[in-house]
Amino acid sequence: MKLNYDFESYQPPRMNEKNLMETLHNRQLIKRTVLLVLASLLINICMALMAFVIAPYSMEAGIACLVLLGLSLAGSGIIAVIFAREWSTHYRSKPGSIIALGL
Amino acid sequence: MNMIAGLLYFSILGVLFIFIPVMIGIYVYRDATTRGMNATLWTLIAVLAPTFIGLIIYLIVRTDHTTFQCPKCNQALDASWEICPKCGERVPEGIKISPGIGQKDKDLGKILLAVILIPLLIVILLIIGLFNFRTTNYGSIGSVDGMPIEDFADNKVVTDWLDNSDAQGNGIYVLAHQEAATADNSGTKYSYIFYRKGLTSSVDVSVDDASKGLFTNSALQIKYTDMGTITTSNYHLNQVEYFASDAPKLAVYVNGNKVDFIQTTTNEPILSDGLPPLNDARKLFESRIEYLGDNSGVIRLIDATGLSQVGQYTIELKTSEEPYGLCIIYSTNTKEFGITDFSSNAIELLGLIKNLGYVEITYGEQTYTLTSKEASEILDFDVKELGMSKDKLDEYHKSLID
Repeated sequence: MKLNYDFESYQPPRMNEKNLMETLHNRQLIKRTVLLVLASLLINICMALMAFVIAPYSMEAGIACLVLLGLSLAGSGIIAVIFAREWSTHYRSKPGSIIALGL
Repeated sequence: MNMIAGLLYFSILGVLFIFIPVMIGIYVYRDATTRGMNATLWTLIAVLAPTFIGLIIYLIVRTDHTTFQCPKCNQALDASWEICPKCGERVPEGIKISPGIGQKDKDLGKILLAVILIPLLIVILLIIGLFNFRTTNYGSIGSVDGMPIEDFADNKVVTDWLDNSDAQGNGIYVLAHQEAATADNSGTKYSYIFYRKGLTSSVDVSVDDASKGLFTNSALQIKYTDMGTITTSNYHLNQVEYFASDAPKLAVYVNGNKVDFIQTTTNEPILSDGLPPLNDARKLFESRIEYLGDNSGVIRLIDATGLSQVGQYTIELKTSEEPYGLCIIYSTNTKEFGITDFSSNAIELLGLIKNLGYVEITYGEQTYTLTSKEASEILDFDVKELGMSKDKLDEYHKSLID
């Protein structure tokens, strides 16, 4: 029988409730993040479509939709980049620093 | 903006930028309070940051904060703490299972469902609306003419209508006729004669159209602008042809103000069929204009040259830089475009519009272009001379017959 883990040579990883809960939370977080990204994509598509639908009635409203779309894309991009950089370099390595900052 | 369109526009914006963020804000505020985080700050971040990036960041950051609460004072506690730092109550081991987490995840699940489904429904609605709007409806003005009343002397329907209108006093009267739909069902031709009784000064008449939109029917707007001059050599009747996929809603404006009018509908054809095959030199010469910017004058001249009979068209005036150009773009045509000789019509336009530099006639991907210089070379004299002398125009027409 071919084993995918050699229990003779290696100590199996110690699993406890805390580890399992962490894994569960991580998976939930990934799922939720993917759903939120999908939702944000849909909202951006909404804005672009609405710009085209509304333009024959009011060009200003159509342009406003496109400007809003551009601003939200740029804003979320900037926030995501800053957060990813700061989170990975500072807060993730120093648990508790978020609390220290009052967040 | 149309009222229904405006209502839908603001409803969609309201749902996307008020309802969903408020829903998220309430969840984040409650959750952050439970975890002992700065609830106000995180609520603001989650609500104000665009495209849910604030909520995503909150979900990541909150994993560092427990949901354990003191059973006595609801103070957020760390799992390793034995005593509540706020009230001093000993923390029982049992509560570290976090009893409230299941309910909160359900709330988040509902929010995630809402933020996916609501935009998805809006996208579907907008795609359906956009598809219907773009594919099934159109409208275009075929021709617009100012006509003397005498031109309709032989048309009993029109003369009877004029007599009735005269009896009713001053005002704006419209005689409408709808032709049967074309065999290929590409649209219907609507003909109108507008009569403004009681006109005492010269007017400029223009016509605008609006294709059927997502929330509106197609519209045809005739606009009278009083020029203020006493002499009234211009016409009292204006005839308009309009091609559309649905019956246009008529509106009449005088000096920018919408006015009432009385409409009569007839089953009989009401418009004269245009000009004789070899254009009437007198009428053509009288239709000549100084400037390409005279929109209604250009359309009148296009009709006078017979180009309006080729098919449905729109015009573009290229007046941003010299040489000024007139583009006639056909959306349908009744003749074989490739073998039709437009040179005589284009020469007439170049001669009768003083500052016109070139004429461009387009149907689909085929384009015919003639410049003033090329026209002068064909004629062996300056094409603009056609607009200076009626005799010259007569001479040119005779040469065409020869």
